[in-house]
Amino acid sequence: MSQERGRIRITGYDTQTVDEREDLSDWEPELQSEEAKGRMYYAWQRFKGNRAAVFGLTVILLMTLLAIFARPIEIAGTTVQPFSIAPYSPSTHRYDVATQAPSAKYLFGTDWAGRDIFSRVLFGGRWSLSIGFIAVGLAVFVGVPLGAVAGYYGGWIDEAIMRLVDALYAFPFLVLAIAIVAIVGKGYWNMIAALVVVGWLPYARIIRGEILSVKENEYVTAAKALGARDRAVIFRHIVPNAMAPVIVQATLSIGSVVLAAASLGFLGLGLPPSSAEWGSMLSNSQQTLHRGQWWITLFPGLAIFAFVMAINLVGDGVREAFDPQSESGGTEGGFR
Amino acid sequence: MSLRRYVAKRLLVTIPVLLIVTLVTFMMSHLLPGDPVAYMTQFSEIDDETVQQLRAQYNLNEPIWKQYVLWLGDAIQLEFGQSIISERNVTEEILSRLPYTVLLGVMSLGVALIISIPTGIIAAYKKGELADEVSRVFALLGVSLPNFWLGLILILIFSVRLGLFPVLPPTSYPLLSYNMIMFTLLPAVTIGTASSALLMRLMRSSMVEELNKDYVTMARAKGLPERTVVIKHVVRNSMIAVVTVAALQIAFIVNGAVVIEQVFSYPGIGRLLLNAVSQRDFPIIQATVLMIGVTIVFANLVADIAYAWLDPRIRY
Amino acid sequence: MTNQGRLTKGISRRNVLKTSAAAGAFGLAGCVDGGGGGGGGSADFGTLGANASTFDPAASADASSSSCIDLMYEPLVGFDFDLNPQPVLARDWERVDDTTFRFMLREGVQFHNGDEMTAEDVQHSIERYQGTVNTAVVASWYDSSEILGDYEIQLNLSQPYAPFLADLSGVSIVPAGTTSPADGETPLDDESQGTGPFQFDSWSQDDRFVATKFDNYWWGDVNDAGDFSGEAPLDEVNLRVVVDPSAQFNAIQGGDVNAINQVPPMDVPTVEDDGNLTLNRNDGITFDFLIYPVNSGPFQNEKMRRGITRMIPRDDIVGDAVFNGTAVKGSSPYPPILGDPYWDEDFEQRLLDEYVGEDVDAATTLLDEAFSEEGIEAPYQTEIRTNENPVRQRWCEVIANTLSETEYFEVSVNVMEWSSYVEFITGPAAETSDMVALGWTASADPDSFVYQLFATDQFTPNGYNINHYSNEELDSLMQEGQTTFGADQRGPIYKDIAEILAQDVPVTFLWHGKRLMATRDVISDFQVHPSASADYSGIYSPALGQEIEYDG
Repeated sequence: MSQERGRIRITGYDTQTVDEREDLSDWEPELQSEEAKGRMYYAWQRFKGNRAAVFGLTVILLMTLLAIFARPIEIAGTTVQPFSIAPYSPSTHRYDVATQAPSAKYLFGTDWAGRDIFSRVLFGGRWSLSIGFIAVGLAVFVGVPLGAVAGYYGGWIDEAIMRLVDALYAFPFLVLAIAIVAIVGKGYWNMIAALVVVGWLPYARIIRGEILSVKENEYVTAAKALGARDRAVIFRHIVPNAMAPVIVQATLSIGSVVLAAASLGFLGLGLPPSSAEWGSMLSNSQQTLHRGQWWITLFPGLAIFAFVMAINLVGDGVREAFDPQSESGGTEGGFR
Repeated sequence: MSLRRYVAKRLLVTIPVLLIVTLVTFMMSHLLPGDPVAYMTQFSEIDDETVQQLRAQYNLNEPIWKQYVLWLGDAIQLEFGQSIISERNVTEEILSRLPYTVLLGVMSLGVALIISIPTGIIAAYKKGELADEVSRVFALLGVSLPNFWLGLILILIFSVRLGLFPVLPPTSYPLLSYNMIMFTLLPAVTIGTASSALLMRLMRSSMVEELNKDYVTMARAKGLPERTVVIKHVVRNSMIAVVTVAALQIAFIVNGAVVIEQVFSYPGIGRLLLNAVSQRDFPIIQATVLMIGVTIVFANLVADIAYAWLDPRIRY
Repeated sequence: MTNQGRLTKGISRRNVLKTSAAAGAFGLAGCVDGGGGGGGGSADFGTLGANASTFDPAASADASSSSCIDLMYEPLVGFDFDLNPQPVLARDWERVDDTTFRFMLREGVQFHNGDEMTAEDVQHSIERYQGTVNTAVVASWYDSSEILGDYEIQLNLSQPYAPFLADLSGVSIVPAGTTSPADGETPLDDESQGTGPFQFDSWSQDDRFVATKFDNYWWGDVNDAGDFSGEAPLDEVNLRVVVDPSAQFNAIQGGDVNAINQVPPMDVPTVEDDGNLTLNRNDGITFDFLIYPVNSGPFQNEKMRRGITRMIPRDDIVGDAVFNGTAVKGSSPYPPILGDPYWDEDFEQRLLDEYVGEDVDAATTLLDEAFSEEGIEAPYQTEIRTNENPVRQRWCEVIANTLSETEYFEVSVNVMEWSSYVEFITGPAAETSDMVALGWTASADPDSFVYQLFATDQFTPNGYNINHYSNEELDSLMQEGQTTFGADQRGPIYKDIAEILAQDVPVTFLWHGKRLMATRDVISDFQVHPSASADYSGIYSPALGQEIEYDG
């Protein structure tokens, strides 16, 4: 929204395409809008050029790899992943090496049961990462259709869904999650359920907004004139277009979801106490602070911080990739 | 449209939202498997009379819509019954803790504004320079740090090394006493830094926008000293966005308070809620969640209206 | 101290939902080390680990309430810090025959309201317990009483009952006419009417309990006052509610309080190193135990239970893993402080060797047999249920981990919030196939370590026989123990009981904890009482031979 005097600005015009386009190419106009695909391609180009974002992405990939290869994975008895980066088992108790400060042998030190914190942090990444991706994925899965329905049909459906969204927005996420856990109990899937119940809201709003602004566009009317059914219209035309802001939101949300899951773990509302999930590890660390055992608090927290920071960098990068003119610095991302 | 029409329209929209908020809260006890009272008492040796009393208290013998209406009627009068555990009046329990959380919230917001406004201004002014980049990093940090971890680290540093703040809530002192405020400072800083990240970027971007406007160029051309320009006009106009967003930060702060009160043993609503969850004290859980939800709906309403009042373009 | 035992982090049997003893809950880190109470505010005296729920002795079933009540009320007979009976409000007593006791009361003892204590008050006080949550304190023995004079009362027992004195020590004397919780009245919650050195001042939920000095405490008029002052050494006792042991620790280090009643075992070295702090310890009358659902699943098989027991790494837990030496492993229910003839080292060792001690080879054999007899396949999945008490959680984790590392089990720890936990154990626990981890606080009498837990007529919810274990031989032995006077005669009976329990293993007795408290240097000569419900009796209990010096 910047107003620079005296300069005519044409927006939506990508100079890269022009530069790279061959003069005598076989480019042909197509009836089906390719905007969605095209946008993705160009967005990726822009993303690649953003050093911070690429750095973030690298960190994420690295952490994912570490989490996968930390300890062997077995599915139905067969070992799918045999590698074990973590030097020790994350769950074996050994009281003779309990609560030791970081050393060459135990990079991050050990906890009260003699467990190697480095190994636990690596292994614990599985919980945090999986919760982040799954919860956001499910939230998108819930929010997008609901928002699409609301936006497309309008009327009282729209009103009802949007009022529900407003009402759920009124509860601070953590308060609602705590209440949900109070009802359904603790556990991995219960926690994800709580995160999804609050998490779908932004996607509904985004999709609905996109649909409203696009509903009158020509290609939609054209498709309808050609007799396409409502559902086809929504899903084939509108949604692909609207995916860009959804992707932006989703990426930014992953960080908030992981933070929220860690908070729940910290409060003891998540996984069982001996779990290597980073938040739960921090909940155990509270009692050790005044004994000067700083390593029990520092490393799991750093892990959370590193992951969330990286995903936020990626999220910012994604947002700028899709909308390079946006000047906003405020992270609208995820939950409040 | 005129402000009055806008307010009316917003109020109209708020009512169904409020109703849904109450409905969601009400449904909480009915989402429990089976009968709420049976669930609450399933393992204990309660004589029939007490069971009947509890059922009457929750109006469980009525059809569900009537139960909702009755509950709503009670809720409006702030009548939530008694805590299962402590048997004290729920409203009393909440009201006795509320001032502490309010104090924490106000101080958190204060911290957030104190940090975010000057840094936002500087970042906007020195846009593109090192200061701007640094502020950007700081903003990212603020959003990415787990707030409870920050709290623990602060305790680690100030407790193990320095020892500047009281350990237990100095509840023998009045709320606004020096002791109490010092006790609240550390948790407020913890929550405030995260909140300030967002506000700072907002301040920056709205100032950047302002600085590009015609009237600024005009004022400069007229020869007004830079300071006057900045302070008298630009900052004030930028504040609009910030102030209204600050009001919306209430939700964020409540979120933070729930966890941070736990970390610092702070005697507020957040701790009350967590203890209630731990002891399955449903009257308190319901009342607290309802109160928070309603407060935020109203906060949003006030923020929207204030924004509309300050910036007529927003009224749609 | 009553003979009636109590689940550590006690519960009230009758009205479970009213329990507010939130056991060491959500790990709360105390705030921050600070200069004493921020800027010159005077430090509070001590801490309570949970909210008190009542100040009426007849209604109290949790340790926090009892610790407060203990400052304000007194019994006829008390048990001192070595667990020996001492005259308190009764200056003497005699056993007329097996069911008749005569008590001579002290004269000139005033209640907080100024009235003098007489035999009539004693009679009313005893009968007041009937129909309350604590009815068991009197129901086991009280038949009737006769007032023989203003200061003399005869108590008639319904049967010879050896734990009688221990039970009687749990009866607090209040003025005749004080209404009872059995009638739905709790007058003592607002105003204390005891004879104790302190009287009730105020109570603020989640915050603090305050008691002020009672100026007319009777010890001042006693002939043999000895070294002890006639009145309490401090004007006010201020106890803060601080749930988490770490928070308590931070508080005492920072000088916010002068005494704490929960010292995490892991902090013992730190306390000992700190020059400003004194670690006070005493033997306790508690044990931690693991309860097996003897009536369901493979746990019906005695070899299964014994196999698991043989796996439990008591030495590790009592040592580095959890307790750092602040607990002593046990094979019988009796703690060392009971002494001869109920406890001796050789007997304990024999039980360990023969039945319940750690022995992985023996365990493997037993489990192999058990698994094949029950027709189950390894690994067998089960849970250990516990509440949020951090120390208990920890040793549960250790046990679960040890069992899971074998090929026989996959054990997880189910941490429940206090009220759900209580509701579980007083209800369906007997029918599930989960193990339950628990702590038990008893009294000065060996009967209190076994009867309520293992007798057939003590099935929950009437008693604390949580797994509904029933053994006729045990029942008759316990009956015999109750009705036989004289330690020499009772000793062998209780040892037989311990041996049967070691053979049958309906529960595994794990260890006996020590009572730990810490005090700042402004307090000298503090002692911890073995009972968990008299934490602050060390302040001023001249009748039990204890008083502090206070420079606060």
